[in-house]
Amino acid sequence: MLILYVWGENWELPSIDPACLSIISYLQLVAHDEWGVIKCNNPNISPTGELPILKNGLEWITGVHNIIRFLKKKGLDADEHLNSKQKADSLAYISFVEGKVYDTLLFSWYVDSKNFTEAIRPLYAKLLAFPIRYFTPTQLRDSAKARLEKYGVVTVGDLGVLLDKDKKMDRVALESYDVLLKKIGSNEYFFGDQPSTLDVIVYSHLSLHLYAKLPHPNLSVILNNEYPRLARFCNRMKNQLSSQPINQLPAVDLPSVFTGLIKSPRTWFTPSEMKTSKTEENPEKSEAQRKFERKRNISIFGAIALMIAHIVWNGIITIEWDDKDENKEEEENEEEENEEEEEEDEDNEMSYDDDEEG
Amino acid sequence: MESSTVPSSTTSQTWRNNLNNNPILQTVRQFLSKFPLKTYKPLCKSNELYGPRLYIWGPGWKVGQRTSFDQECLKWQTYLKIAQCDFDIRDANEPLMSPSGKLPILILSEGEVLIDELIKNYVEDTKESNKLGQLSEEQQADSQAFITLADTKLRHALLYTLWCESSNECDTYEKYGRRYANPIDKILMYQAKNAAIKEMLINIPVLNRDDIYHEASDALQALSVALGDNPYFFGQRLPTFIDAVVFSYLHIILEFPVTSANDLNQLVNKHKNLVEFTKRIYTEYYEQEF
Repeated sequence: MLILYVWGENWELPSIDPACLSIISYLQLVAHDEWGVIKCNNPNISPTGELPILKNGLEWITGVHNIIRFLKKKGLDADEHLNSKQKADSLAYISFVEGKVYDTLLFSWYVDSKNFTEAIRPLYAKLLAFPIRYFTPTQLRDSAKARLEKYGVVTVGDLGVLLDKDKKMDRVALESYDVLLKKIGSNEYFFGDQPSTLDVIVYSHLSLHLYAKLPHPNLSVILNNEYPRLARFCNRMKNQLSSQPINQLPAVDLPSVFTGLIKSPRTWFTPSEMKTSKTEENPEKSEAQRKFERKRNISIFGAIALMIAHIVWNGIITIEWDDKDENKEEEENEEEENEEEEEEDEDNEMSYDDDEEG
Repeated sequence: MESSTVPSSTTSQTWRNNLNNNPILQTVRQFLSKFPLKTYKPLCKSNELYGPRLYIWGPGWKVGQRTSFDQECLKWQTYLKIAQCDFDIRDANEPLMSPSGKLPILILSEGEVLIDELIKNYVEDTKESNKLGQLSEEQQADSQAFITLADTKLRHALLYTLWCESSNECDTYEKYGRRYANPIDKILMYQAKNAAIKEMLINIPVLNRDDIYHEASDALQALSVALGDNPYFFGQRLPTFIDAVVFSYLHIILEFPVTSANDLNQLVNKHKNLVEFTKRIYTEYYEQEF
């Protein structure tokens, strides 16, 4: 059973994130049963901080490329009918889509402030849980800004509003659509008449351009009016994939910081840093340290032995092996134990003295 | 779209006006404008530019190479070379002289400063005879896709090799930091390393050495298949922009000193046609000078 953790759905698409949508569509295309989707909406559950994650038994796989590579190894290969030249092209176009085409989506979502405040931020607020919904959208915008800096997108003012100062992004969008249009030509799919990984990934990215309902639907208008062939391709893929049901699993056992803490509350009080530092210390005992510890032990036990010998020798406690006076003997033994405890305390003090001398 | 960008630009304008009208700043500015008190006549004038000049990181990794050791610089240097533009090369080795804070820059004789894409536009505008190959529309699309492939996968692997492999630190320092005085070189190298890591983290969430090299190996495989047995990409008789891009990566990977951590070198050496392609461009466009 393959379990996929993804961002949630909106705009009649199974996920709002192109990467998650890619894997969902890929599984819809090649796998029929034995997989399910959990809408966890929290990238923090992933060790790399990104969704989607695929869980196969005890194995966790993150990242689109790693997951597709894993699925191909399992025999769920959408590229079987491609020759090596087409596979090379496929890889190149996938990196193109995940680069430039994704940049145009980020531009439309985060740089256009009306889209961001009226559609994208409320959308994430709806999907995310209580505390993180207030800062995750802004974090996402900051990371979008880092990606778009190379096109001259800058932050303006104190609210973090982004601005495309060179007006380059519209051209980037048109160029990237042009590239895809030239590749698909008049084919039904990118490589002939059978869908492949590239089709899935192009569909996942373009469908968010096309079907998202935004206050400024620039990308959707451009696709519908100027690149009708790409829009038709998306519709065709959507129809084909909608015939494959998605198995939704309940989000019961989400690995998160909170569930981890609830399961083992002891971790609240033992910071992990301390633990690791302790385990590192253990094997690193120097020769001098070991010598000192041995001496300390010898002196402690020696002192205890001497003390007992002194007590027994001076007759403070006498031990008699008489069968008749059992009761008496027990009392005496108790006394001896009490005294020994006191002695041990003294010994501890002595050992501290030793420490100081050492 | 416009309604969203207009208010933000006006706010920035008023903010700037406030700054300009600030009385304290104005007095400071007036005071500073008095300096220098006296300007002497220059003893000798700076050489006037007789043609475009490219300022790069240089010279190359190996002694006697005129190729830059920085990938961005080498890309534009090669592109200008293969377009057979007439231009000079200066080993500036000072990224702060560029308006973008990055080398290379191309300075034209009229004093215009060009960076990045502008250099490409300049080459396409001024190219008189057809020294570059002509790509069909489909090939242009393919070319864009493969350029993105190289600029993401190969660039990450190259940045990782240069800045994140501890055994390569000395070699990288030798080229990028050696020129500066003692405390400054450490600071600049630290900044450069952080910038490289930041650039990689934009596209990949976690820097995993195996993942980065695995992706690079896939990308090299794809490039090798795309090149095939042709002298240049897409069966062209003359090189195009993609040849300059791919050459810039492969040349630096192959010329970078081979150490124990240079896995990337081995990955490239697996593909004989890519190695030959790199050598061919090097002998054709760089060795003829000598």
